[in-house]
Amino acid sequence: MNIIELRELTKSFPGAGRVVDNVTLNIREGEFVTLLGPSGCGKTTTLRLIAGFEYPDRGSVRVSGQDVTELAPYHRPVNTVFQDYALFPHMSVEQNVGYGMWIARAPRAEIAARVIEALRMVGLQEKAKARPAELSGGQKQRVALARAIIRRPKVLLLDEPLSALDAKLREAMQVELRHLHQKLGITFLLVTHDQTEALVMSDRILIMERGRVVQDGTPPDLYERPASPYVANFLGTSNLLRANVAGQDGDVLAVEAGPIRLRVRMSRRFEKTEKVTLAIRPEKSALMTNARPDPGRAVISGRIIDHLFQGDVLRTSVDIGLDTPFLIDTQLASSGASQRLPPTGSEAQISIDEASIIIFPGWSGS
Amino acid sequence: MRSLAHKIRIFGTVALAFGVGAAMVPTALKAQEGQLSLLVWEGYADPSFVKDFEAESGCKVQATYVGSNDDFAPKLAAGGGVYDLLSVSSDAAEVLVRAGFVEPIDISKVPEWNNIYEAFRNVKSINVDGQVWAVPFTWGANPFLYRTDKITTEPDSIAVMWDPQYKGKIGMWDDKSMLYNAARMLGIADPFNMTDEELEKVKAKLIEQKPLVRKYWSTAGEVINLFASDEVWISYTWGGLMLNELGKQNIPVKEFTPKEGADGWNDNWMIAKGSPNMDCAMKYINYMMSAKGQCGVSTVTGYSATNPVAAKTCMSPEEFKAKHQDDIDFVGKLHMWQAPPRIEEYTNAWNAVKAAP
Amino acid sequence: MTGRGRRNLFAAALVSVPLAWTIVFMFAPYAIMFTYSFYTKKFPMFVPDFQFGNYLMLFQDIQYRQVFVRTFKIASIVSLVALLLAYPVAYCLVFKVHSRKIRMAIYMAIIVPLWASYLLRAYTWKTILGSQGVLNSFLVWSGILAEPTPLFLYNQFSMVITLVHIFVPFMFMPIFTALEKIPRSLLEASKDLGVGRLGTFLKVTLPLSVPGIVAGITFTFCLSFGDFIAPFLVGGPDGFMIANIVQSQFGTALNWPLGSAISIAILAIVLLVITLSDRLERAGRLDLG
Repeated sequence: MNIIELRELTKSFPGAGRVVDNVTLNIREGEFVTLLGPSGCGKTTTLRLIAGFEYPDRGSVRVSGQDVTELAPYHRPVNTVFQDYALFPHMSVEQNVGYGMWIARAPRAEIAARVIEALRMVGLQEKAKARPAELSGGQKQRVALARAIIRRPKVLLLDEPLSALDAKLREAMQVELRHLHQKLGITFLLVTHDQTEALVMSDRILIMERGRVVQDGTPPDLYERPASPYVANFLGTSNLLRANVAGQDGDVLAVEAGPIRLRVRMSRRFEKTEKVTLAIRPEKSALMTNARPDPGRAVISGRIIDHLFQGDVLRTSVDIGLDTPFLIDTQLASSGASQRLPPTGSEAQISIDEASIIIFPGWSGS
Repeated sequence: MRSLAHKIRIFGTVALAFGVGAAMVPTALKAQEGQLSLLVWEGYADPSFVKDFEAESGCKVQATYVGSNDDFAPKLAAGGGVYDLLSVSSDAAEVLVRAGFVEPIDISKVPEWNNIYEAFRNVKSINVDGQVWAVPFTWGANPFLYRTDKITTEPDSIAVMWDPQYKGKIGMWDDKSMLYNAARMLGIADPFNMTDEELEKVKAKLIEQKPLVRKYWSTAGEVINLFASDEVWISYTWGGLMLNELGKQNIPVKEFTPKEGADGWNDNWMIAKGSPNMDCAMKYINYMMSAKGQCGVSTVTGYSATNPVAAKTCMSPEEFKAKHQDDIDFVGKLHMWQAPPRIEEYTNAWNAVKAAP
Repeated sequence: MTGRGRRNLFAAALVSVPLAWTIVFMFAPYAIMFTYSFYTKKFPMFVPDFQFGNYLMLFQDIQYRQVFVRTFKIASIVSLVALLLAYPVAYCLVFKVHSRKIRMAIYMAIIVPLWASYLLRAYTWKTILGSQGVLNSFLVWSGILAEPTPLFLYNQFSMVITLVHIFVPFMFMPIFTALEKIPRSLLEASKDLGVGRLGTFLKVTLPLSVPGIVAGITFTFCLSFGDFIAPFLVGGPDGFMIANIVQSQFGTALNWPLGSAISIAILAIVLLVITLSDRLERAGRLDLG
């Protein structure tokens, strides 16, 4: 059953143009869905349209089968965790959490019990009497969560909830949010620009670009089968090579990108000389150590520009005679590759897993 | 807005903005040589006669106006060297002498001295410690003024000021002389020497009048405005001056002298202590005692001259008679202002009237 | 001289200007006035002394109590009316006017009268409220009144109107600032939690704007409390305020010691109000971090 249904939702702002452009999507009950995209792609506005803080120019919002397009935020069965937490500075933690029930004149005992329950859920029961100003960023985040779930909303909307936290805490909170989602069993709709966050937490990711949803799928789906160079480069990193089709022989497609020639297995038919874009993941490429490539791997040659040490991964840039360097990621822990790195400036052969090369028609960015 | 210190700072700035502005005024008027600075009643430095004086003497005249005889001492007490010449009523002269705010006058340098009515020359409060401290130059009576189009039968008693019929249309001068008038109406024998009991009665009477009063006014300009804008139909006035001005504006007004008698007064020139313009000050005094000055003031204000010899040369016989210049006994019928010996109690009583709800 | 020495000297010079200003124009006058307040009035002026008669007088003579009470009443009404006027305007400006340009334009329009002369503004009210003033002329012309009413001018009503008009920017500015500082997300959070407009205003917006209200009331109250021009220009026989008494004691009454004692009393009241308001603000001190 769909808990959220957006139909042709459109919203413009003066000076900013169409921020949300004809968005139609469904979210099923109990899903953890992420709206992913760079800033300005319309993901936050979409969330605010669902929460009721913005009114759409066109289209409709249905929550749990009910059309709420015309309803004020306080009449919608959804709750929001705000990017800046939006805790009331003049109230204690328990007052913040119990605020909605208190105004709705719920019985005192019930409020107290539910506040404790919500705080326990986020592991913050000992801070009930504290003021927001006395809390750390992570604690404020938990209060905001507790406050948003106390009314047991059908959908919890999270607007970049982790962006203000440092890296370590962010990782921990990602796991906690995932657990919270399982415990509560309600629908989570998260907005973020952080691909890792999206990949780690979501059941499903909707990628947005310029007000539209450009791809919709599970994290592995999107990672392995991006529908466009945009998605390929937004989720993880991809080497995007502009190439031309040189010929096609059965399942084998020959392409040329400047001095580089590659043969790729490809069932789809292309015209000769047609423009295509190749997307190659850095981690699916390797510096060749053997003289001969393994079967199923294509080879291109170049000159090492530099090595970037990134902890568990080593990123090597190689000049392959095109405008942008080719990136290669090497897992250090498994290979211990740092010991025998080819020096900067030296010639190198790159082997690429042919099966992982994705070909998009047309040239990206043109 | 956050801290106390910040709030005080803002408040201080605001207070200073108001306060400093007020404090600047006197310094801006600091006396300079050749620039004669007058502290006078309205009408005593009118351009109609000051222009000629400036041309003849080479002295420049600048005037500041007072609204009450009580204004002289505080202005002088705030610091000397600001004013050169003062026009003080006889009853207020002695305070200034005693406080050391004024210079004695060398009457040998006042050629017209002996032509001045003796009655004014000999007033006790300007002859202190065997010296003369002031030159009397004008006198008059303070009648009441009323709008003839609003009050059709001429009132004859001060009691009209308590007539509920004129509620909200009555003007009173913001000055302790209102006590004398109320006392006179109550039949108190000597308004300048009231007992505590009498003073209380007068105070109560004036407080009783408050709901009827539109405004306690302070300057001639203000009371003229009150009559002209229909705020006030009847008021105590300084005689002549207000009548003249309102006449020019075609406001139908008339003066009346109550049967209880009117306040009488005479004004004198006094020289402020330490004036750097002694020479110009004496020139102005002598000019004001001459025909030009005597008739100049009289024409502007409607008051009478103290020098009948000079006045006769510049007034028509009718004017001469109308202003009682040939009838010095008239002065005797007026209640000439005196300095009440218990001035503090009087001032306090008048303040209490204003303070009352 | 070392660079640091020069910097210290420069800092000292920078601080000394406001310090000297404060000493010369604030502490010195108050010290002199405080000294005078123990002197004794003696004809024709006063003599140095040390006695508390001037202060006792404030309690013994009913006229001072009457005027203090009246001044307190007027200043309170002015503050209240100014609050009731300024708050909705500031609220609408902050939350209902979305264009920054228009908001600043209206803000300036409200603030700009501060640059006009106080006297001019007071006189303007005289011409509006007088028996032949604009308001009366309109009411008679439109047939609402048969004849002009004297009720608008020369009473406490006209004083309150004039003082409110003159001091309302001092109420408006801190409230505007306080409201503008409230993050919009707090209001959204309130609505998100099921609370309607009125509840959100009463439980979130209003409490968070209290510091602005307190500051505004402090300004308006203290400024009105010390005013002497409005009673003089538009006040009636019942409009005598405490500053007018000070004026008359320093003026006509020539009683500087009593005038000083009253001034010190006013200063004490004003400081008390400021301290109280600071306490109040601190008690509800809100950290919007």
